[in-house]
Order: sequence, then structure tokens, then C-alpha cells
Amino acid sequence: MNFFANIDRGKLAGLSAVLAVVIFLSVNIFANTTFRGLEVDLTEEKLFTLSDGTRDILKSIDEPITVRLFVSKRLVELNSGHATYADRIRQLLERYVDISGGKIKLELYSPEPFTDEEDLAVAFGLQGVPLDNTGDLGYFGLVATNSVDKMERIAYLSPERESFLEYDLSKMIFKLSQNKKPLVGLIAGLPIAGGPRVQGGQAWAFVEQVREFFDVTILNPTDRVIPGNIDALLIVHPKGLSEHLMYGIDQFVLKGGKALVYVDENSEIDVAMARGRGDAGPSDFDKMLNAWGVELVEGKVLGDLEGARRVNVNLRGQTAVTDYVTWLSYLPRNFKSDDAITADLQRITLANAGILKPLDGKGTTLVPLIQSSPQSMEIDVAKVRANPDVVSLFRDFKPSGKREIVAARVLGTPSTAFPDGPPALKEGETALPDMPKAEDHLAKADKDISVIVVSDVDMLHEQFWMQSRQLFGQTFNVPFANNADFAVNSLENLSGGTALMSLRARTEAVRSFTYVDDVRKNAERQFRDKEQQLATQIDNIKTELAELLNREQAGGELVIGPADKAKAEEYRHEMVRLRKELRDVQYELRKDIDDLDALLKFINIAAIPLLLGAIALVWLLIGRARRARRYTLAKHEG
Amino acid sequence: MRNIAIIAKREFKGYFATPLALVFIVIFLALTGAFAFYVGGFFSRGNADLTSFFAYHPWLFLLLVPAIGMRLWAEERKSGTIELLMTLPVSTLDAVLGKYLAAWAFCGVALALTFPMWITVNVLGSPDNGVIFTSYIGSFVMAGAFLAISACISAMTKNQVIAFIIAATVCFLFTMSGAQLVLNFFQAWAPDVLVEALRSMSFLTHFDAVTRGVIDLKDVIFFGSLIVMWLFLNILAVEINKGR
Repeated sequence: MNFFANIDRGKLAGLSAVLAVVIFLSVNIFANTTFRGLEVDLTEEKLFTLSDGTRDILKSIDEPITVRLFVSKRLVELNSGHATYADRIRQLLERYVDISGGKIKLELYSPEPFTDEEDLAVAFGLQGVPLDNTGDLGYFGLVATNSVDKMERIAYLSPERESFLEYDLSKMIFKLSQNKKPLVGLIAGLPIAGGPRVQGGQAWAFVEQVREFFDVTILNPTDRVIPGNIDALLIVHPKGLSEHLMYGIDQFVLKGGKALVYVDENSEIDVAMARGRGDAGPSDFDKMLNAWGVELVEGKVLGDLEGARRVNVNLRGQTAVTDYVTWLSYLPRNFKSDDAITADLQRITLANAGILKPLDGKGTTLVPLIQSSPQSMEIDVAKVRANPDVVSLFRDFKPSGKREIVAARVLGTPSTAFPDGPPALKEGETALPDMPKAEDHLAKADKDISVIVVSDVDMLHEQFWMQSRQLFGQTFNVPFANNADFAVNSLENLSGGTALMSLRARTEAVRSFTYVDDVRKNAERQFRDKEQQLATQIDNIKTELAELLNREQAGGELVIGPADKAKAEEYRHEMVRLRKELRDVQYELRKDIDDLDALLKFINIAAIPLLLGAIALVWLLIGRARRARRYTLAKHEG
Repeated sequence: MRNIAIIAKREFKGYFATPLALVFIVIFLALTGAFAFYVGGFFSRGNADLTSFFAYHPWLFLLLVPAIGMRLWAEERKSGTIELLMTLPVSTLDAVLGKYLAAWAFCGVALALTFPMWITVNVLGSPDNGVIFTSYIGSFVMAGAFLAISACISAMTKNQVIAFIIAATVCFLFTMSGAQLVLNFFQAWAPDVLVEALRSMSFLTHFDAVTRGVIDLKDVIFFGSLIVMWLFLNILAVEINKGR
């Protein structure tokens, strides 16, 4: 104690200060390295919390899995966003290791140019990224292998996929821990599975996504038999199926087989690919649907004001943005919230979807999974098939107030569509050994069937749900809607697994100003009518003016007569007036929103300061009055 | 404990005795709003969140909080009232905490008065209110950290202007230490541990983490230990200068 009493107060303080700084630094360095993942996630979707799906996957691992994370230090240093992301990935993987009870092993590598670690990264097929102009490459990727050397990798961990990180990692682990994938039989009326006969030959992206979790075997529409080892059927835009195949599907479903069916009343893709062939557009599957108690409303597609997507249209030579009422973007309010398939989806996009209705007396019920808003309308297929007039569809929209069904589970015990048993063999056809036999014919399902029907085929094409971005010469696919997830979820749900489902749709929801959208839509509905009238008037006057001028020229008169001249002048004036009015109308379209913008700026920048100023002023005046009164009182008493 | 409350109350009331507090709050509110709308494009972005609002808080605090903090001790020392304060039966700790808490509460009032932003975004769409809540907490705690620095530096000088400038500079260093510009400079020669430590000292990094909607123990420890350290230095500064 004496020692401290003897030294100078200033020195003691200096010493304490240094000590405080040292303690502060060590506490933080300790915390940074020790407390990993101790956090409270307050986001509504629990974006940063490990989902139950991941936990289930990690706990179910039998064989050890090795995860190697490659992070080149120099690459990370180039961009601090990468550093944070790399940290997050490492922390997440460390939690995977914990939860898996050591079944997952994590190895960290920092491959620098010309090292063994770089060779390893190259050997695993990771994507090198140029660090500078000397040609040195950096790596930021992930490789996972299981005990039988099956490998999964992410060649480059693009920060663009950050919101899918947990899903991507869990998917790798899931695929490595799985012994055998279920087998899906794909029957398609469009070349969705790719192949040499198709131009480009590429499979649709959603098929690739399905292949990640299922083995897919292709059945041709002309096939006559459904192989016995198939776990589920995926039927997309069925057309021209052979009677035998139809019968096969019928019996497959009645005997408890699972089926996910995409039909359409107007498939844009089909129409585009057919290039004018007459039968393009609708699916041909009514026989089966009707047997299951489902009607795909004929000749109608679904319009929805609330779900309409904004598209660019060419309006009298100018680009305008308007709502396309048959191109829809559906949000959780359109989904069945308590069904595992749709519970976590954020967005489904549709293009010219059909409308599903239940049929009575078939022994089935429809449980809607995706439904329109009440602002819906049945629109004639003819109006959307060729060169749809987007603006007039919007203008003429009359909401029915009904919620229409786009996707539904079919429950119940329907009867066969083939009451007479298997179709007879045509001439020249020979019986195949594994064709269903007449004595095995089932006339009515004895337990609930497992069928999901969706009324839009186009939604499966990547142009409606995915964006590709190029980065370092590699393509990254970033989905903006859960269309493919819906397909995979459904197949997985039908065939019994659920582990990845809760994870799949955890995208960061894009939350928009719905109020502004409503204001805009109202304004547009009001003004598009007016705009149309004015545009027609302008067109009329233009024609009349042109006629007048033509007449003059045809008459061979070089000088325009005074009456015609006056009339032409009048037309021009009228046209100028109408054009101005049209501009005003177009301006009005923006005005409500601009007004709102101005009002909000005022409220958030000036309102409270003004209010405070006013309160201060009143306070000041009261104080002054009080003092004045006190002063007068004092004088009186004095 | 009672002494702290008494001092804090007296100080807090003191803010509203002069128009200075009002001016401060008005500037803060007008700037946060203007930045969110004009620089951050709150309305034109069309996203129902307050990212564009909170993004500018570190930079606004950088100037405004040292302005609050500068008078905490420098003024008392200049006018000599510090002697009076120290003759009262309160410990230095009580005085430091009382003054600090009053100023922090004042920052809280200023922050709370931005509530029209929260109402606005909820009227326009359906934002993630959990994220907004953590962002407000993060913003408030960050203001507290800036304030602890400013208060301590205020206790080291009699001149408010000098206190302001030094405090703003130190706050700037803490804000910028995570920026790539600064890190690149150190990466060239410093060991990794130091660079890493430097990065972890950044207000921006920690604030960004909180505004994602996640409260991490690391961030809590960072801001907590930072405030405690600067308040401790503040006590030392007051004690040292007692006799002078």
C-alpha cells in the first residue's frame, strides 16, 4: 500500500489508463475468438438462426463428412464484405460441427499462389479469381466429401447467395449423408428435360434442381408402361399421351402412387415453341383431372389485379410501365400458410395460369395451396394468346370478388377414368411384359390419393423465377421466386421427406411499399381510361387532318382554300390541346405519389422540429406572462 | 446510487433550461430525415425498411454527440463550478455517471423523436419491426459510446472547442477503423492480429451487424467495454485535474 501512496498521482493515473486500455483490448480479442454464435435473432423470419431442418439433417448423419473451406487471405483483403462473409461461413460451419456431434470435420485452408494448398484447391475444382493483374489467383470456395469419397462443392462462395448460405451448406451435407435418392418419373409435353433433339439441348433449370434431390427418369408420351420402381410422377404439360400411359397413371395414382401435375390452359412457352402450330397452348389431361374431381376451366386464364406484375409496354411509341394482370407475382397471403409445402415460400410467379375448380360427386376435395386474391377475373384465352394488349386488359378489368385456385392438393378416393379396365391393344401393338393386367385393375381408390395439381406450366421456366449473373466468368443463378422450390417441396412432401423444406424458402423477403403500390394502381385505373379516350381522339384528328391534306393534293389545287385552311388550323389547335391534356393525365398518374413523397418528407424532416419550436415558444410566452404578473403583484404589494 | 440519480436529474433538466438543447434536437431530426430521404433515397428505393435512415447515424453522431459531450466537464472547469461540485458529498464516480447518464438520456430523447420515420414505414408497407427495434437499440448504444469518448475528452480540457475537435477526431478514428482504406494501410506492414484487432474496433462493423436484426454477444461486449473504459478514463481525468 505504501508503495502506491508514495508514487505520484499523475503516474498512477497514467498507469491505470494504460491498464484500462489493455484490459479493453484483451476483453474484445477474447470475446471475438470465444463467443461464437451467441446471439439473439430478432428478424421476423429468423434469418440468422439455424433452422430445425438443418438440425435434423446434422443429427441424422451416420458417416463422417469432411468439409474443407478455402479462403485466400489476399482475396478477402481486397473486399471487406468478403471478410465478413467468410467469418460468417466459418462460424456457421463451426456450429454445424458442434451440432453434428463431431460427425462433420472442418478443415480450413488459406491457399496462396504457388503453394500446395493452391494445388489442392485446383484439384477440387474451385474457381480461381484474379487477385491483381499479375495473374495470381485467389480462392473462396467449399468442398465436402463423405467416407466413400462422394464430393459436393461450391466453386466460389458468391456473397450474392448469402441469404441462401444455410440452405446451400445443409443441402451439401444432406446429399452426402443420403444413400439413395427417390426416383421420379418425368412425363412432359415440352422438352423440359433437354436432350439432343431440342434446340440448345439444355434442360430447364428447375429440372436440374429436382435432380439434386431425386433421380429423374424420363418417360415419353408414347410410352405404354410406368416402371414399377418409380416413387413419384412429375407430369408437366401432358399432351398426346398414349391411352396405355394414361391408364398407367390412373392405376399408379389409385394404388397410392404420388403425382405432381402441372397443366395449363395457355402455356406461353408452348405457344412460342410451336410457332403457329394449332394445338399449342392448353394441356390435354382433362380425362384424368375430371376423374380426380378437378376441372381446369376451359378457355380461361386467371387475371388478378392485386398480384399483377409491372411490365414495360410500348404505348404509342413510348415505353410505359403498367400492370400485367395475367403475369402474377404471388406473396405469402396467397399461400396456404399451414401446409409444409407452402408455409415458408416468399414468392411465386405465374404467367397466364389456368383456373382450377372442384367437380362434385367424384369423391374428392381440393385443398388450395396457392390462391388468387379476391381481385381476380376469368379472362378469355384469346385475349392473351397472341400479342396481348396489356393496357386494355388492365383497363377492362372487373374483379369478381372470388378467390380462384391455382394449385391444390387432391384428397379423397376417386374412381378410375377407365371403368372398362385397361385399354385394348391396337393393331400392331404387342403386350409388354410389365403392363398392368386386367385382373389387377382397381376401379376405386381404397385410401386417399396423393396428387397435387398446378394450373400453370410457364412458371417452371427459369425466365419466370431466376436471374443469372456473371461474375468472374462464372454464372450464378439467383432465384427471385420460389417456383422451383414449390416443385421440389411438393415432390419431397409427396414422397415423405421434409428436412430441407423449412430451409429452402428462407430468402430475405423483399418488402415493398404496398401502400404506394395501391395508390399508384388506383390512380392508374382512373387515368388509363381517360388516356385511352384522348389517344383515340388524337388519332381521329390526325386521320382527318391527313385526309384534308390528301384531298387538297388529289384535287391538284396548289393553294389551300381559306375554309380548309381554317379547318386545318382548327384541327391543329385541337390536337395541341388534346396532347396537352394527355400529358396532364400522364402527369396526374405520378402526382398522387409525388404528393405523398412531399408530405412524408415534410413530416419526417420538418414536422417535429416545428412542433418543438411551437412548444418552446408557448413555454417562453407563458414564462414571460408569469414573470410579468409576479412583477405587477410585487409592485402592488410594495 | 441516489447521488447518481440526483445529479442525472439535475443535469437532464439543465439541458432544457437553455434553447441549446432544442437547437440540437432540431438539427438532429432535420438531418436524419433529410439524409434518409435525399441521400439514402428512402422513398424512391421503395423498400419497406429503415436501412437508408440508420445508415447515416454513425456520421451524424460523429459531429453531434461530441457537441453534447464537449460541455459536460470543460464548462464546469472553465466556470469553476467543478470545485463546487467536488466539495459536495458525492464521489467522482457519482458525478461522472450522473452527467453521462443525463447526456445519454438526452440523446435517447432525440432518437425517440424520430418516431415518425417508424410510423411512416409501417404505413407504407410491412417492415421487419424486429430489425428496426435492434437498429434503434444499436443506434442508441453507439451514441452512448460516442458520448463516453466525448465526456472523457471534455474532462481533459477547459476549452470546449478543443474538447469538441479532439472528441470528434477520436470518434472518427473509431468509426473509420473498419474501413478498407484504413485497413489496407495497415495490412501492408502490420501483423494480422493487429489488423484483425483494428477491424474489430470499428463502430461501423459492429453497428452494421446490429442493424441486420441480430444482437450478438460480441457487439454487446464491444460497446459495453468501450463505454466502461472511457468512463473510467473520465474519472481519472477528473481526479487528476481536481487539484489544478
